[in-house]
Amino acid sequence: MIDAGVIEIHRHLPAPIGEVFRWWTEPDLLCKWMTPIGNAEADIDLRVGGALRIVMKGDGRVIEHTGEYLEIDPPRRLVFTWVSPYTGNTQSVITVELHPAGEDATDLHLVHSQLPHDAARSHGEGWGAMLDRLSGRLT
Amino acid sequence: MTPASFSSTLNQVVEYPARQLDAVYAAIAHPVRRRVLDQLQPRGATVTELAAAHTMSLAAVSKHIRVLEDAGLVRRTIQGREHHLALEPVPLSAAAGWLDTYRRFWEERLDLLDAKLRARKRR
Repeated sequence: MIDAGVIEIHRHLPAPIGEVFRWWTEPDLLCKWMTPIGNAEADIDLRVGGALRIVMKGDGRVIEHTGEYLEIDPPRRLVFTWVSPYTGNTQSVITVELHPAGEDATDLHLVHSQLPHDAARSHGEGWGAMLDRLSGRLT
Repeated sequence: MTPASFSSTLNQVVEYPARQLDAVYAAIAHPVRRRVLDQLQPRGATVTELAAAHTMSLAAVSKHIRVLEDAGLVRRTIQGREHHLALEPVPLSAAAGWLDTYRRFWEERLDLLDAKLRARKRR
């Protein structure tokens, strides 16, 4: 089910499931793709209740993401919390599910939920669309 | 989407944390204030012009305008006796672009993961 505060993404990736899981959970590999700016540094304590911290640096900015692992089921499932300036520093939840797709490929399903927009959307009917319309014209 | 435009969206979101977005959402949760925002498109209006279009007093309309100003949605310039109001686009696009920004973030991250996985195979 999709509601306003949830993003869902499906991806077909060209590597076996174990390999994809490693790219999500090993700091050296995660750093290679988990930043939109410059470089990333990652500290990962891969156990339930363990902390993760990803610092994205570049473009004159430093963006820190922190979280906690809620579920770890290698190589199929990973659930962790995610707090960052992107989330208005409130807690959101990321669920990554992996399914083998033949010998050398993996289907990834990512759900990013509890995003702050969810609560905001419930403020009143109608204005969400108005907001989209206004900002669409302005930008 | 180019890196430059992603970066500018990112800046907007980082500069408009949840507390400020809440002010934006609260401001536009009222029908009179939504109507005022519509009236300010595309080139703004004076307070007198805005009030003329509503069936309420100038004082009541002014109060709603004040809420929009406090949320950073409206900018007031005073020329002589005229108070001219214009829309301030950044908070609106930050509020509407919130979810889109997450989607773009993950789409771009997964594009890069895909590229890295392909590169590793060629080695």
